[in-house]
Parts: sequence; C-alpha cells; structure tokens
Amino acid sequence: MRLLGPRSIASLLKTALDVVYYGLYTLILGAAIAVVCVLSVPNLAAEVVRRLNIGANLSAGSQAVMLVAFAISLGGYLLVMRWTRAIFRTLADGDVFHPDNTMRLRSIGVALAALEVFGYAARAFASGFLHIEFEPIYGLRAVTMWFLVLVVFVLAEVFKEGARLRQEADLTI
Amino acid sequence: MIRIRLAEALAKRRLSIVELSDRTGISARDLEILRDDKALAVRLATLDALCRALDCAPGDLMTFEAD
Repeated sequence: MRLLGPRSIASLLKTALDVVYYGLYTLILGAAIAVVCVLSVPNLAAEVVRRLNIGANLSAGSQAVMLVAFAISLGGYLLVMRWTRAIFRTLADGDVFHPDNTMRLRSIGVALAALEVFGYAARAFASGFLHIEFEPIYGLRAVTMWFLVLVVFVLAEVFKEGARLRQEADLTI
Repeated sequence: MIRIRLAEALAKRRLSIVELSDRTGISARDLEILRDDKALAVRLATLDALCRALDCAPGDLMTFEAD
C-alpha cells in the first residue's frame, strides 16, 4: 500500500480524520441544541433521565451542566483533531519535520492531559453534587490516557530532533 | 567561527552567483546560503567544486574569526 496519493494509508487516515473532525462539530452542535431543549422544554429532563435509566433524579439545570461539560470535553477533542490534521497536512506536503509540528504535538499532549483532569473534575462534581454513580475504572485502563500523554510528549521531542536534523541538512551545502 | 569568503572571491574574479552556479553545478540558492554565511556545514565535494571553479585553495575561501 502506498504512503501518499489515492488509495494510500495517508488518504485513508485523512478520511478518518475528516470524519472525526466534522463528527465532533456535529456532536458539539447537538449538545448545544440539547442544552437549549433541556432548559426550555418542560419535563424533558425527567423524560430523558427515565429513558436513559441513569438512576438519578436530575433537574433540567443539572442536565444542562452535564451537557455543557460534555460539550467542553468535545471542544478539547476538536482542538486535538485540529492540531492532528495540521500535522497531517505537513505529511501530505512532504514536510513532516516542520518546526511547528513539535509545538503542535506538545499542545496535543497538554490538551489530552487537561481533558483527563477535566474528566476527573467532572466525575467528582457529578458524583458529589448531582449524586450520579459512575462505574469505577481499575488497572491499566485508568492510566491509559496518561500513557498516551507520555507517548505524545516523547513524539514531540522526536519531532524536535527531526526538525533540527532537517534544518542542518538544508543548510549543509 | 569559520566564515566563507565567497563574496570576496566572486568580486575578485568579477563573477556572479549564476555564473559560479553554471561552473560548479551547485544551485544559486545554495551558493547564496554560502555567500551569506548561513551554512552550517560544507561538503568536501562542494569545496572541491568551488576550488576548481575559482582556481583557489580551500584556505582562500575560509577564514577563522574568534567570537
């Protein structure tokens, strides 16, 4: 399978990235509409709670808060996807060791870490104030995101070295 | 630091970058990088081509200046 061009791994990845990117936009839009509906349509909150079998009697305001938190986390993933697409564009241009990619990868690492911390905070808030019980996550699954963050930061350093080597090669006459 | 004295060598021989590029086969862009002292390294093959085209020794093209 070819690396670049039609029917290549890169074109498949590009399609996947585009689908996820615009899918996230759609989900955020859906969450925003849901917030408006929950706050404006009477009894919708109670109906949703009953249908989803959440096991907690959430008010419309609480549901709106949860939806906003969900939308914020989706916004974080949208940012991550935006940086990933920018990195991918440099690959398609044949300039993957561009100096900007180091900063993009670091930003992705920070964003993933922030999303994980935000997830902890949202769960703590939901269980503490809204009395929603979440299924606990044990073992390696609990730290998967932190492994991912570590890998992304390592990749950022690899790209930094790659960018330095590329510049050195460009300036070797 | 090591400085490439390509501008002086060209002026002395009344040569342009394009003419030197034609003589050496090194691109004008690369020669400009050398002339402007932006190069990080010079290949022996490049030095060889420059010395042949300018009829000089490597020492004539480079000087060392203490920082």
